[in-house]
Amino acid sequence: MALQSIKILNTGKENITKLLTGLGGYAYAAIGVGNDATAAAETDEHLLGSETNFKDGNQSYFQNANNSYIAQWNSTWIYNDLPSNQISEAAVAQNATNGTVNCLLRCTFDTIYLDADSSFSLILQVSPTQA
Amino acid sequence: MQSCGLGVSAFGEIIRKDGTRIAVLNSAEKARPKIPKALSILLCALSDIDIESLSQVIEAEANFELALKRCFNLTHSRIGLHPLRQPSQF
Repeated sequence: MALQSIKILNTGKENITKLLTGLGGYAYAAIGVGNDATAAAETDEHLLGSETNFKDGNQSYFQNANNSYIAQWNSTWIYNDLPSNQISEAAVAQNATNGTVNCLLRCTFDTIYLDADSSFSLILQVSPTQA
Repeated sequence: MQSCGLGVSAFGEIIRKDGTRIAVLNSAEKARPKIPKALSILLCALSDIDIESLSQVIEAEANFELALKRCFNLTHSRIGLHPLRQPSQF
């Protein structure tokens, strides 16, 4: 299985500029998954699946072993969180109740099929970089 | 020229009821530490197994748990067949 695509969305870029300048903006507190495998595009605004499920993102930040600064969201999905139990996409959202609008990033990956004996743990990270 | 930006990463695992965890996204697999060269040479010398190729098999195998089981079985059978490598001698 493999990650297929991952993008910071235009909605997220706009929000980041507002946060940095103090001219509005909002934090991201949720993480969600869906069943659409269409490759992520910057023009996406949210998950594209007909089935989606958002949860608290358990957000955190830290410095990793490479001294990179990391913002992180994570959660776990279990059997029947999505009716089809097929997970193909994920996103970071403002909160779990309005996950369908203005997400920060969206990614797609080879479809994961959950059964009653398995769960899916997902971590999404964003890190300022300099090269 | 220097550039700055935002990097994004995804790490995913399937967790079974018995507690086994299987990495399912590329980022997670790339994050797995490689066997250090010095340790690799030492393990090669001690076990007569090509650790580099063993490591490549693990990296190429999407099902990490399955790869480990295969590697263990391979190691176990080699130990059993080799008269100088019986467990009692270690």
